[in-house]
Amino acid sequence: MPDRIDPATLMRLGSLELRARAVVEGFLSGLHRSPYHGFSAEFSEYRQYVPGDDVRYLDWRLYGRSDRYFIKRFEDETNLACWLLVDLSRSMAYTSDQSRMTKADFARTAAATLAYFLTRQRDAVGLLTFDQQIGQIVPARFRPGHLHQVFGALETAEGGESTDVLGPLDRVAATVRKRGLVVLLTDLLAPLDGLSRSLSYLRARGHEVLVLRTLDPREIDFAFDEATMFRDRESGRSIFVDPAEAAAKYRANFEEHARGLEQMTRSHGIDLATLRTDESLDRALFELLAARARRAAVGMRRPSSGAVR
Amino acid sequence: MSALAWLFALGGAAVALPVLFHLIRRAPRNQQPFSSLMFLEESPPRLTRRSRLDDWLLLLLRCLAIVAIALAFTRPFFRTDGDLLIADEPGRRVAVVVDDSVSMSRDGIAERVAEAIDAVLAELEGRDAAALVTFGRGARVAVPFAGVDGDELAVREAIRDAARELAFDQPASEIDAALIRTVALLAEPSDDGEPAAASAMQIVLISDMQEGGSLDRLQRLDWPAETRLAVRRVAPDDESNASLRPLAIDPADRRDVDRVPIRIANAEASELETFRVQWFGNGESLGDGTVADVAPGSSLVLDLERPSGADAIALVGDAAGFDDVFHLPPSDPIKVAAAVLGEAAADDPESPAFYLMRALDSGEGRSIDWDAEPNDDDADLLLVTAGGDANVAAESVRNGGVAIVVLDSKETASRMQPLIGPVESLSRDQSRGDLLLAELRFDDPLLAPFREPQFSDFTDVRFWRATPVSPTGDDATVIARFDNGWPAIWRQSVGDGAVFVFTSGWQPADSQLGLSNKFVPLALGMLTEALPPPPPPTGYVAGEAIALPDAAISVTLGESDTAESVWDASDGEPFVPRQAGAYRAIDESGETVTELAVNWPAAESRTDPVAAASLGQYGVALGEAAPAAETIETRRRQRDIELEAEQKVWKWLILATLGLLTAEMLLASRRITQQASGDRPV
Repeated sequence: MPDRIDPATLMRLGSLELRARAVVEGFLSGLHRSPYHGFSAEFSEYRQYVPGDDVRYLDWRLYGRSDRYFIKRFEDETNLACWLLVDLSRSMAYTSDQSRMTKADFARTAAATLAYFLTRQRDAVGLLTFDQQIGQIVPARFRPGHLHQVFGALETAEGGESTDVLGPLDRVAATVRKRGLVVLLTDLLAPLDGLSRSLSYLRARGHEVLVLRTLDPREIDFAFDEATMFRDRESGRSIFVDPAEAAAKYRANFEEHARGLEQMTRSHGIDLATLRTDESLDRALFELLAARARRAAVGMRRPSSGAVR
Repeated sequence: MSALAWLFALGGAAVALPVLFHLIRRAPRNQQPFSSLMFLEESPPRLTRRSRLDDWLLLLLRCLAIVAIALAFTRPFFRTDGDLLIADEPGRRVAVVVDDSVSMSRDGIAERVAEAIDAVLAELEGRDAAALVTFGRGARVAVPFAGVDGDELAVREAIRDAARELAFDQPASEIDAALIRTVALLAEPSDDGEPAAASAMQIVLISDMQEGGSLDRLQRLDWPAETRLAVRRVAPDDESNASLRPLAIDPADRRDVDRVPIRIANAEASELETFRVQWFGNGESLGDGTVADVAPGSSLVLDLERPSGADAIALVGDAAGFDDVFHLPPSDPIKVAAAVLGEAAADDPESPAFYLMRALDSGEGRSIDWDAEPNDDDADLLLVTAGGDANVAAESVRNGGVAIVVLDSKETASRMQPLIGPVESLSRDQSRGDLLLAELRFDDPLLAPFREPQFSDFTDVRFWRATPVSPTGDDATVIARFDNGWPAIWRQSVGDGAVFVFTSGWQPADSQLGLSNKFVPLALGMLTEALPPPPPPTGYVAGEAIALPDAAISVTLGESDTAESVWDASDGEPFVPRQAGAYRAIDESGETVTELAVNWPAAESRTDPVAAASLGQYGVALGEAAPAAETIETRRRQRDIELEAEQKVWKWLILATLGLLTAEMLLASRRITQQASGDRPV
């Protein structure tokens, strides 16, 4: 099944671009009826010229015919400015199975897939990687070669130590003025304090936010057998844990955290999806499209600004 | 091995720790990296279910290291010789020192002394040696140590008997003398010459510890370190005590001879305040007495008129009676028999007798009778001038009298030779008209009063006429010379008496001496030599020797009819009154030579107790010497400490610990290396 590519198999593709393409091609083949199919730069309307407008967009032909200046307005050149915020902290480098992708690799691939997919839709894609501080930043653009830049940034980004998810969110909220889509790829294994504020800030700037929570299956079910020392990948702290005793409590804590997260995102109108590293990557695409569909369904106005600012 | 050794040995229980650690599998070898511990809680460590222990060798090394270090802290040692036995211990030397002074004669003390001695003897162990020392004025060993092989039971019985016989009549409490003597006694070797072997030296002082006891000489005593002094104070039934005593004022200084200042002192511990002062004469009370209120701890001086015939004054109403009667010396003036031999008119201002009689008049406790029979050979004082019978005078002087000879010519001098000894004439080469006294021997008793510089100036006394003679006998001592070298005054010893020879008279015809202010002291000095030594103004003190007149052959105590003889001249000992009372010295004919008022020393009346700790100020080690069993235990501990210090087993144990730990370290590191290589993923 081309639309259900096994992540392990996908990992064998060395190039991120190839991986992304494989996911998107397989995904697209099964999504002919996507409500977003057919975005393109199409003529929208004329508008009378006012001093200050870019003369490049004057319709000279219409001027020749009517001796009046008209600006030719198009559909937005890029429909969407999408920011991919990828967490590459040390906790994301975890995998419970050596043969499986780490969460970071999974997030990278997912980000590349989304970038490839969006670029194919002529949307602008920006990238921001972070750990305890912001790493690579690729501004959101749609232009030839931009996708390679995104891929390059994703491939060269190095994992840091701890996680600070608030910094990137605030940075995007502060610097990205054009309203768009912010996709946050992280495990969110951190207290929720402050996250709510940053997310609401983003939402207040008019961004759509999609949180793709990337988790290893063991992080969800805590299916360990042996009592052993568990070492925090970020802090380095070690404690002795007997899963027989601690698993139930872990699951309860985890679910409580997840519930809190869900409640918080829902209250801000943010889409939250959990991606398991043992699941297919195209779920990321699906979640993206589903989220946008939901937005369309509730009548959220897509941004349709003028060609020129 | 110290007292804490067993506590340190308990540290050996720490050996359980490595066993426990070996059983606990607290830190698993593998680590599981995990993305976040935020949902995890630490599980408590568990004992492994397996009961067997791994790493036997490591465990053994660790246990041995802990045991070795615990042993090292207990400071062990090996006994090299046999144990100490009580039989090896020589026992204590215990000296019981009992106060025999008169203050101990108060009611109830004697019984308590006996009880205290019984208690001390009862505490003695079989091998202890005991002795009894009594003290009052000086100390006396009543029962000495019996020596190593002596019969201790007999000694103890002797101590009981001797203590029972104590009279408590000693006139002082010389605690210092007693302790010095006892310390020496304790150190004395036994009869067979063996040095005193004792596990401890103990002195038990049984005394009322009165304030008047003397302690000062203890300062000179280097108290032996091994000797301990235990004080058992014996208190009377009633601590109240007051005493009375005339103030020590010379009768010559008293304005009114008939009045006597009496000081009444009440002890601080007294409960009585009101007393009556009563005069006594020949055992009969005189008058009604005087009531005196004296608060405890204070004193009062009463100026009382002494009735005629009174020879004692008593304090009535005091609890302790030993010091309530004070015997007063007789108030009769001393009679001096004086006579003039030769041509000297008593009422002629040109006669030497005229000045001497006026210089030496009666009064001040003496009466001079110038009308004594000149030929009486018992005259005390003779003035001999030209014409006097030298032989008669010499006889008087030989019996203890004093003769004053004035030479007016060489002829007189030669005639007086039986009295003044041989003389030689000097050449008459007088260059000047008058003479001065130049060489004065102030060390002679006659001139001693003039020794001070303000009195020694004789230059204003001029002599016009002098007889140039010089004594040649060995018994003559020239005590003053004129400035031309002629003797002016010399002293000639004759028998028991003395002759003072003046080569110049003191009447104005011869010199200015009779009119100078030097003459009266000079004359009194010569008279003093004629008199027996006066009794002390407050009488004699019991325990001190009294110089009796030669005529006295015995001394009796008490009233004439019941008197008992307390001293006999044939004993050849000086008379020392043992107790207070009115003594009487009697001559061969049974006549009273002199009356002696003897009283207890004032210090004995100070009966307030002093704390035994005050002995500590003199370096006396107070306390109880440990019994033999305790001494052996102490010695055993000391020997153990010495053995431990010599052997130093703990050093070897520490060394062994270090060795064990090194081995453990090497083994453990090898194990870790092995495990690491075994765990390494292939």
